[in-house]
Amino acid sequence: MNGPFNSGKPVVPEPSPQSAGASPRARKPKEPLPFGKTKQAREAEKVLNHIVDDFDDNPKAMDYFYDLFRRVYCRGETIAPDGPLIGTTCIQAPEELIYAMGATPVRLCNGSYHYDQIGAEFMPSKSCSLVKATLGMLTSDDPVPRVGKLDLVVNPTTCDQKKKASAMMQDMGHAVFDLELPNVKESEASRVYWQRSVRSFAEEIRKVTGKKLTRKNLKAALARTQRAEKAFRVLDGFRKASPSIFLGKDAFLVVNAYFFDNLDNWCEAVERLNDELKIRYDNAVRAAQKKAPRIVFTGSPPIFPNLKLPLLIERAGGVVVSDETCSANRMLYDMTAVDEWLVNDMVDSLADKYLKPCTCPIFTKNDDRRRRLLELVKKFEADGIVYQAFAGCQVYEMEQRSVAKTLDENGIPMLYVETDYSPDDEGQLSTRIEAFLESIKTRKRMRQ
Amino acid sequence: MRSERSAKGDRSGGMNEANEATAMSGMSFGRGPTVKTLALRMGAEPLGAKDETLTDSSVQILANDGARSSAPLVNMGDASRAKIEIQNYGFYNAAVTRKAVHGRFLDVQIAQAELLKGAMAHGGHSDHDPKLFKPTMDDKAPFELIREHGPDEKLWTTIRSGEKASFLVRSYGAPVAGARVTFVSQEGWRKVVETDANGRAEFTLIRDYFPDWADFNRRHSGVFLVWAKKETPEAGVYGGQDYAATRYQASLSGRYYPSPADYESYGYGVGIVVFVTAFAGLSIWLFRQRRRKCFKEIVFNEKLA
Amino acid sequence: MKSSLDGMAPNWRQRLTLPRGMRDAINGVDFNRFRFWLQIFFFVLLVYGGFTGLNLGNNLPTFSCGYNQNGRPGVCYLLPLQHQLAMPTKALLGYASLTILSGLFIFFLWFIVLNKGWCGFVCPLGTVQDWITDLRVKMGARFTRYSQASFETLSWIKYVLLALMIVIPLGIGAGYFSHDLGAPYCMICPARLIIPTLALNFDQLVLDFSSPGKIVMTTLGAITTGLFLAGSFVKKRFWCFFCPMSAFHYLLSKPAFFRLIKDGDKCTRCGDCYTVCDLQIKEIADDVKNPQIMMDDCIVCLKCVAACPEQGALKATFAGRTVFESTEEGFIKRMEKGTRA
Repeated sequence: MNGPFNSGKPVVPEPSPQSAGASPRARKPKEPLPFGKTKQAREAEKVLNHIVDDFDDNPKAMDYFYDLFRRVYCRGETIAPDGPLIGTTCIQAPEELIYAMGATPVRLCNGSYHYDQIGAEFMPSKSCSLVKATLGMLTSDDPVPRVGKLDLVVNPTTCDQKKKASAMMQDMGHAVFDLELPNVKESEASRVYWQRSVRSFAEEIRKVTGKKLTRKNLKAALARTQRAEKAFRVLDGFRKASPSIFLGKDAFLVVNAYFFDNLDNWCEAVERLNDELKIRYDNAVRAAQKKAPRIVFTGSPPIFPNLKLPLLIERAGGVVVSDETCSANRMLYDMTAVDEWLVNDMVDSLADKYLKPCTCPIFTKNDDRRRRLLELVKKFEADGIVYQAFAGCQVYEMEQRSVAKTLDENGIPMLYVETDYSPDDEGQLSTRIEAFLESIKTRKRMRQ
Repeated sequence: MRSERSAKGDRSGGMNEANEATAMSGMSFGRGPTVKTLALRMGAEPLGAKDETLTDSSVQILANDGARSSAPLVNMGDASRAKIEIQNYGFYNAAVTRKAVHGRFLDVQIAQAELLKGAMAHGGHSDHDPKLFKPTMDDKAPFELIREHGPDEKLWTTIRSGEKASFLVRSYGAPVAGARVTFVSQEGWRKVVETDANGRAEFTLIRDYFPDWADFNRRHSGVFLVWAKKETPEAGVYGGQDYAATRYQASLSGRYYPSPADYESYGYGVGIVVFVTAFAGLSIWLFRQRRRKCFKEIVFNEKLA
Repeated sequence: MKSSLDGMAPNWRQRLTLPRGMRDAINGVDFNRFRFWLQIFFFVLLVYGGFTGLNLGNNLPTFSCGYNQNGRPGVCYLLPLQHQLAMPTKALLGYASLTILSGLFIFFLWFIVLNKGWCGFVCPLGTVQDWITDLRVKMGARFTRYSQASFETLSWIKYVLLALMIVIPLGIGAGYFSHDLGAPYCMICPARLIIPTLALNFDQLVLDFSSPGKIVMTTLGAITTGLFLAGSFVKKRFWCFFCPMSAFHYLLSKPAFFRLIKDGDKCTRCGDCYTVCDLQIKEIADDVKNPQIMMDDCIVCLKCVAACPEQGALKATFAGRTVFESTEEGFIKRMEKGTRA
């Protein structure tokens, strides 16, 4: 996949400083290039073509998502928001509150190498690609997805890089609200602290939209996300099927679409997809080989167009059957339980959902993450785990050791991959992944 | 395990209108017979009654299932006592009769007592058998005095001052109208009424227990004494002596307790509940209001050395 | 691990292909409504059942209040227990010990059937508290939580009450205390005032001036009832937290048939169960090691099971057989009903 990014002049031998230097230069002329010709569009299109064309038997219902990404990422179409548009930089911002007060959330986490390079000027060289790409996108005049003018950026205080990004976003002219997230999630004190944070977040949105939070509008918002979560869970259920009937690259794409798509359209599309998968399941249509190694993906989140690692796994004959990342499973899997359906109770319950099950590595302990991985392996009958850590994403890098130890104790093979958005390491990664998958196959054969 | 107290009346001729006797029972638990001890006493008021002896007599007992038995009166010094075993739950009737001819009259004095084998206060299989709650009456008795039981009265019901007590006077099962019935409270307050057509006489158990508050005892029991008299033209011979008429007298005693109204207050009880509810409710409300304001700053104490 | 993996595939296939069976129907039930009606049934039974002549004995492990003399179909064990313990010490060491032991045994037999489910489903005072909670929700007032520190302190009260409930009657029997302190817990129990009143027997609403002991005990009873009314309006299951019967239950709960079981592996610690827990039991969400998750404050109302979105993470079992377990489908159904209402 050595394509559009490196087509520039090869002046400097090291590819990434070169491209990082190239993009600010490219911005300077500011001549309006037709959107389809821009770097980000070409980057997206290439990945999308790969996802669509290089795999057989994609579900028909996936066309909605392929088309959606083509429209938004390649043709630069805008998804019109209902009411004010509120950007979120992490999954911990309760979107139900945003919907309830008549605004639309859009998740700003970005997966584009192009923006990663632009954002590099804000952050030290060894920083997380995701944060850099997000900053790069926010600083662009013509960002993709086309989020338009953001009325507010909600920045949960998660990892250090996102925390420090807050002031930078403010400098770019965005209104930023720091949603204070505790560093410990086990204690009751942190729970109460977080519930207060969420309450003040609701107040902040009220200031933006001018609408009050009521039992009615909050319930309606809960019903909408509930529908999405339900659709997600059904989809997730189909991924348990062995042999697989649905590939991980499509699953990531579906959930990535949730970042910016109209919520109701997204739900309908996923429900259609679920109907199709049901038929596939009943007819035992296979999306992968019977003996394809089943992989649980964990670590730094793959976000379109950076689906590098999942695509490499599935090109090499593996299947990503589940994941433990904030761009997919962690975002939509957990559901809110409410006891009394009063505004206060609903808001507290929401707060609980966004804090307590979260397996983000920014918290002090990671017992839940390790238990979650074991449970996912069990539930999805997985053969191994691929752990992606973005270079510079310290928290994931630091957790690698404890996760590896737990998995080792349970006899689950793990491949730890440190990478970034740059496509340069694809060849090397491809070799490592093939070797990993091969070793899994051998293990399986040995067991039989 | 209830203690049962009963009383017997007796009469000697002459001035004394009535005589009274009280008895204490033993205690027993659960199943097995309950042993009651009856003592014969005589006097015109409950407090003034003295032990009385009666020779060659026995207590006739009628069980609530109709069984009859008797227990001998044993004289110990100046007192006659009888020990009676009660097998089954319910009210039993005990009576001692003394007959003597005085002039043209035959005096028949019947000292009656109502005996109870009660159940444990809570539950127990006899709780719900209404048959057991009724007084036992003797249709073969020439003259008897029975305390009527209230509609809610069960095995453990206590009688309290302020309540009405009604008594039946019967002869061979038929109500006796026009009998003179005398009620005497523990402190000697008395009232005389005549039975109505149904043989019924009704009294209010007036309060006659007025101690200092510090000495007040909720479980204080007072003894009341009731007797009924009726003269009949029955003539005959008794002990070789002729008589032209018969004077019947039946006595019965019982215990009554202070009325709850003397020491219980709904006003204070409900008042405290309402006050605490309102006070606690207000406190919670104020607490919630306060929480809406800014949190309080930490202030260090400057006066600490 | 291999064996557990083997079990997964057929299970999944079954769920997809089989029509929804009985088990699914049970697990998908609108649990709160089911419980609401079951509680009404038991409430009527335990408050008014006595009017029909029903008699379940003196050793019930729930607040079938003995002071509701005509309505109760049986007596809450705490009343006879306190009476028995107040017998003269000599008697206690002799024949009366048999009375106490046999009473305890019958109580225990009743208890192990439902475990603390007696609290969550049967107890009429618990039901009254749930109704007060419903009233609050109707009025749109929010509930109150204890802080973690308060929770831990207050949690001891029920054990203190249990100890006093045993020690004071023993002291009476030994002659140290007046009989006016008899049945000390019953005297301060809100059920003594509330349950008979609901059966239209107002005898217990009085303050008894007959002796200092009686004044103190009846005043305390009136105060706790006031606190009960105000407290249970803002705090779900306010009194259960202090109930010595709850403590007593917990001490005996090891061999009980009815159990609350947690599979920690399946738990995501999302806290949904904790969010709905009336008794604020944090362990239900956080403890992933202990399968016997019924804590001392638990009333086994099973709201946590109904509010758990993870397949089989929480379940109620009877003698080892699962009777109700958490399911994804059931959870979604119940919560959808909530957002639609």
